[in-house]
Amino acid sequence: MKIVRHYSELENNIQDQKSAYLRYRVGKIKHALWLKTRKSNENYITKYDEYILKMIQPGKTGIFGSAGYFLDGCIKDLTVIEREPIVKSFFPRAEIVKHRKEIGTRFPNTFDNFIVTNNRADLWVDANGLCEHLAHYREAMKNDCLFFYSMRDTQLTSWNRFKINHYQVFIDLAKQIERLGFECLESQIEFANGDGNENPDTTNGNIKYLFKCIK
Amino acid sequence: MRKNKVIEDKNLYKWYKNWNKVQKSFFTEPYQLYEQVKIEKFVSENGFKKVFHIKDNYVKWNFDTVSDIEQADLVLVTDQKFSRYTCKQIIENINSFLGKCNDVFICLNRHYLNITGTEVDTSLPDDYETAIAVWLEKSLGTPVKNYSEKFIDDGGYFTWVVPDQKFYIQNK
Repeated sequence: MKIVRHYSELENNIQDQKSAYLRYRVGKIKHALWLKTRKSNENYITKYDEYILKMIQPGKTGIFGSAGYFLDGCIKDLTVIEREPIVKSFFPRAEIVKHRKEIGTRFPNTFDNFIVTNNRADLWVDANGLCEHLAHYREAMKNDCLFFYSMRDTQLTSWNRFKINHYQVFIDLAKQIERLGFECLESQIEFANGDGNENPDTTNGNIKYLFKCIK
Repeated sequence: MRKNKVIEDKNLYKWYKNWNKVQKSFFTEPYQLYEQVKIEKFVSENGFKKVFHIKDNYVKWNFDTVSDIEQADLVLVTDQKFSRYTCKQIIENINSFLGKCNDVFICLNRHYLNITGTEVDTSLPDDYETAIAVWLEKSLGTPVKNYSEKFIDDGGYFTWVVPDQKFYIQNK
C-alpha cells in the first residue's frame, strides 16, 4: 500500500459532486449554520456574527471564503464570494473566483463592508503571506470600508510559540496589515486556557480584527 | 424579516474524530500515513506487546493494546488534546505516565504548544522544532529520543491525524 507523508503525494482525486460537497463542507465550519437556517424560520448566527451585524455600515457587503450565504437573510446587498464551484449548486447567487486577485478585478472599489471569517485557505502562511492575501481583498474595498478579519493563531506558520509573546505576534500582525492601507479600529486576541479544549473560538477564530480601509 | 438566533460555537465542530476516514474517501487509491507506519514500526521493532494508547480519533492502529495503564509496556499518546494543556501540565502528565510505565512515546502538535501563550522561555533555541525538544528534555530532566521529521507545516502533513512532534522517553 502507498505510504504518504504529504497530501500532495495522493493522486486519483474523486471528482464527483458528493465528494466535492463533502470536501467543501468539512473545511467550512459555518456551513452548519446555513444548514440549520434553511430549515428554520430563524437565522442561526454566532455571537461574532451578531457583533458584525451590529457594526456594519450601510451599503454593499462582500464576504469571502466564509460560507457567508448563511448571512443572506441578515445583510442587505450581500455578495457571497467563494472559491469552490460546488457552492453554486446549493447557493446559485454565489460568485466563484479561482484566485484572490480576481476579487479585486471583478469587484473593484465595490464594498462598504468586507468580511473574511476563519478562512482556512488563508492560513498556513506567515505574516507576509497573509498580508499578500489581504492586499487582494483590499482591491475590492471602497475608501472607509470596514474590514472584519478573523483567524486562528494555531495555523499561522513559522513562529516559535515558546519564544515569542503571543499577544505581540498578533499586535505586530495588525501593524503590518495597517501598512497595506488600513487602520485597526478594534481587535480581540484570546488564547485557550490550557484545559485541553480547543481555542476560545474555533468557529470564527480566536484572533479578530476590525480594520477601516484607507485609500 | 426573520429573527436571528445566536448559538454556541462549540456545537458546530465535529469532524476531527472521523477526519482520517473522510479524507481517505476522497481518493481511489488506498494509502497509509507515513507517521502512523513509523510509530507502528517503532512499537514492533522494540517488541512492545501491551500498548496503552491515548487517542482521540478513529484511526486503526496495527498493534496490541491494553485498557489498563498499569498493565502496559508502552504508553503512546496521539491525542491532539494532550498538546492543548499548559506546558506545565503536559510535563506533569508525562511524569505521571512514567510513574506507571517505563516507556512513553508522546506525539505533540507543534501548533498547539504553549497554547495559553503565557509560558514563554526566551532561553530556548530560535528554531521552533529544536526548541520543542530542548524544552521537553529541560523540563523532564532526562534525555528524550526525537523521532520527529523536520518540515515546515503547510497543512498537508496530516498533523491533525497524528501529531507531528514525536518523542520516546524512558525511565532511567
